[in-house]
Amino acid sequence: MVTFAELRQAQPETYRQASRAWATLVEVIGTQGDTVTSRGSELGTVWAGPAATAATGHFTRLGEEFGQGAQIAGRIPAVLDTHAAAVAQAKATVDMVVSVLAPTPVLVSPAGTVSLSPAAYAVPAMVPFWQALAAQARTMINGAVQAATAADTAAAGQLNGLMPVATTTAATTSSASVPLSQVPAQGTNPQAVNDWWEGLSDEQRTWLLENHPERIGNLDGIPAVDRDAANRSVLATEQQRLEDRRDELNALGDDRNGDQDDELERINDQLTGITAINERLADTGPGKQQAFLLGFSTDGNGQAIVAMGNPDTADNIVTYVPGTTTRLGSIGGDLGRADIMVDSARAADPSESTSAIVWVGYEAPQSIINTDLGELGQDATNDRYAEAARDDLDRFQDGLRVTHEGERSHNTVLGHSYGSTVVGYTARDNGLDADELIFVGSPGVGVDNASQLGVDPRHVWSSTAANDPIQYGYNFGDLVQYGLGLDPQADLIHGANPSRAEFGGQVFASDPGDPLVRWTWEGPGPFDVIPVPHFSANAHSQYWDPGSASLENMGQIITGNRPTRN
Amino acid sequence: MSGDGAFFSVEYDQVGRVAGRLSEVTDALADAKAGAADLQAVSGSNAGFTTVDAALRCAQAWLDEVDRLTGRVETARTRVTDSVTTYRDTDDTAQGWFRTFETGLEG
Repeated sequence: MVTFAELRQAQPETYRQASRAWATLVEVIGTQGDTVTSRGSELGTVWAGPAATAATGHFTRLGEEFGQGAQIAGRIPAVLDTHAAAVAQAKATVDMVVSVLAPTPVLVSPAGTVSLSPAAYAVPAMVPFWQALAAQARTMINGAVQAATAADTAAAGQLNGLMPVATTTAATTSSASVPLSQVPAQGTNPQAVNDWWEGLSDEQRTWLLENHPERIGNLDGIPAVDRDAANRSVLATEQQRLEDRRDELNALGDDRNGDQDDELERINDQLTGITAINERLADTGPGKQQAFLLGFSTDGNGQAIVAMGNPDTADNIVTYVPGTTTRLGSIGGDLGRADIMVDSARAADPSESTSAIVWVGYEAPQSIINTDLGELGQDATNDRYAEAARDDLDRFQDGLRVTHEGERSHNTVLGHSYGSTVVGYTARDNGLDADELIFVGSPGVGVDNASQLGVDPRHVWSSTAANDPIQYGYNFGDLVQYGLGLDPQADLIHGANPSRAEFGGQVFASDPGDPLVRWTWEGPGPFDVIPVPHFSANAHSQYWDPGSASLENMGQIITGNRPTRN
Repeated sequence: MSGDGAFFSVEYDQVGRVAGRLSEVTDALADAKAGAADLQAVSGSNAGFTTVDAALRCAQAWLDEVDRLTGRVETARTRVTDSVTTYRDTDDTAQGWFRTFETGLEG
């Protein structure tokens, strides 16, 4: 754990200095490897026979050893540069805090402790202001120190993974090593995971984080700080792998086949998400809580779980489950929503801390209605995505309880659109360890009544904007029964509309959203307007708009209060 | 030589020249290693960061790796040089035998 004092004394430029030296060394290794290979080829032109064949083969392999070395060591400069940037940003934050507070009665000790000097109490009316300033300073200092620590652990882990092959082999026999057979499997009960983790020595935990982060990062029951360190390493490794593959595919140019075009598109999409995550992880600026990468995978459409603020120490935790089209590549917008929910919660109760988690921990449908006959059912009308997500979301929530420090936190699980279906199915079938459930823009949550969700209906909240077309997404059977009229009794695709009073939960207000857009028929015939539900995609996605009633109300619920906006 | 029908041909001087030029590789590696002090630039600063220890371990491991690769190149160069010498010696010996035979000093 890096301390405030150590961060203040850090010299990030030395990492960049080392990075430049590494780049030079790597270039020499690569160049000389090419030379060795070239000399071997030259030998083949002036020497023939069995001995010559053996010799040239030897030089070819020797050249490959150089090349392999250059490839592995070639990743070191980027690790050091990334670390330098993270440390520099964290250091700049604490330096700025100290500098800004210097002329004020808010004191920052050499150890980073923030307190008020007696002068702060000279004017009673100013005391709340100084206290708020001190609180913000603590948040920023803690965030910066945590960011530096996370970057430090990640960089150390990556460097340990970039040793020469012979050294890597030797490391596996280290006394701190842990047999991988002892690492709990994915899906293990979070309490069992936590018991195992806490039973390891510091050296063993460090060894695992540095050598096998891929086995640790997605385990529920591992503390957030450690998961974050592990996943940052995994993310960096995966980013490098994807970039290498992208470059290979780009180099093929017109020779790429259809599958390779698809692969390239998928890689570019995932790299977009990775860039968004990296930017948020590095952002410890004013008003932003330290982000923690609690889960990461490039399998399938790619998944990631990112917390704004440490959930293990927060007073309130909201887990936000986004819906259709969610994937690693699209996570950037959801990270912004999480940040804005933290702000909303802070506005609702400045005295409490809140961690907002974006949970892209499931394979979400990628289209609302799939019209490709070969992929029928692979869209948001199918509930199999929600069914597949239940165990993972349930276990994640349990893990939050297990690793939380101090008093029990106030936990909310919030689902938007198809994400609300995921939350509802999980609550219905697995039971969710949550104090509040929030649904926004829901197409149904798998039950007819709030009482079937295993959470006190007084804490089941839902809102659907007046212009959100999701409320017209009827269950097909009811559509046939009730016709195309907007009958309030009709079930939605995935169950009763939770934003209706009949559902038995608590309905809170949202702004209406952008007006509906009526689809006009432009083809032949007498119709100028098709009598089908009308779509305004905007209203389905405006629940987090700054200043909106829904955002303010969600902040109140997340902090354990009742909605205040009508 | 080994095996039926096996043959070889060696351009002694050319092979020797190629082997000699391998010293450029070992020289370049030695120079790179000598100039790599900044790999350890993080030492002495950044107390409390585990990255420092990892970076120093990494630097030492790769400098050792450079030594190992240098040794492999030097050994290979020696093997080629020795092979050429052996070929040439054998050739000289055989040549000597037949010249001696031609001049009637023997047999």
